[in-house]
Amino acid sequence: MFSGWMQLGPSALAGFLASSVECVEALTIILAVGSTRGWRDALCGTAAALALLAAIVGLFGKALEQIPLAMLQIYVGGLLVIFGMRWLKKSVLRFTGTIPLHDEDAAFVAEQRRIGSASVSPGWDVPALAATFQITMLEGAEVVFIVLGIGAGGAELTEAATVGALAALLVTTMIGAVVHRPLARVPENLMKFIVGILLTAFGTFWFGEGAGIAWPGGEASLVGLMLGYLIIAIVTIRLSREARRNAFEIATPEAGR
Amino acid sequence: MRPVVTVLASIGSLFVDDALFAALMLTWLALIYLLALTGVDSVWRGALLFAGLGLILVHGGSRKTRSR
Repeated sequence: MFSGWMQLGPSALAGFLASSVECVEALTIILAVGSTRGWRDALCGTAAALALLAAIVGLFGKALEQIPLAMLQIYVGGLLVIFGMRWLKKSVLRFTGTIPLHDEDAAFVAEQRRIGSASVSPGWDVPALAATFQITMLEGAEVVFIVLGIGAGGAELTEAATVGALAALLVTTMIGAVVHRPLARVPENLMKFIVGILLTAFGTFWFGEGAGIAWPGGEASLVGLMLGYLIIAIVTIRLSREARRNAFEIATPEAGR
Repeated sequence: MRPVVTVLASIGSLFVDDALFAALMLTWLALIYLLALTGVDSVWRGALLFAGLGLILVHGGSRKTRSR
């Protein structure tokens, strides 16, 4: 069904962008732990989480093959809609200033302070292991879910999303190894905004397919869904900014004059 | 054990951090699924699915802004 890169491109792009955001967040914590408590335990915690994730993917991958495609599309599509819309709403609220932007430098300093105050014991550094295991598992689980969600329509899409995710892991690891600082200049909110649109569009498409909706133009309607959600998100940003301005003027009447 | 529990709790919060927003989406998805049983045309169901989710996004965004 999905034969060319015109169709596979959005899957690879969504996999790359979503995974980049997750990798940047994980890298910040791993760098903070490694630079404060030493690299051996920080990297061991990361490696343990990656190994556990790989085992889970191996087990679930086999189990998912047994589920009928329509049912899989309904469940995965529905979850992807909820996940993508949550990302999209958060990035919209960050654009309007309702909630603060995610600050990698601040997260780095906070983690250094937190992990630096934990007690040190001989042998394995448990707080360092736990911190890097936890962040890698959490961000990695998000990546796995995104790849599986995007690939709900077939193996080719899963492969495209996996290539995107692995490219993001490679690029982030290389940059992190070179600069040894959190990647604070990455336009994280813009990336989350784009990924939110892509995931919501994929989720809507898969859920619809599973529920028996014959989308006009087949998979080409994915592009229409993406454009549609982009327009709705821009409208939401404008409405939210207006609501915020009105609330500010009511709270401080002289500001509105 | 505690890191694993924390990870599981965090994974749950990846989907639900605003209960009303999540409930509205779930309800809308269920309604669209049930519409198939009533024989509503497939194209209309697709349009309704998209439009409803769009409205939920607009509502969720502006509600959160007003509450802050």
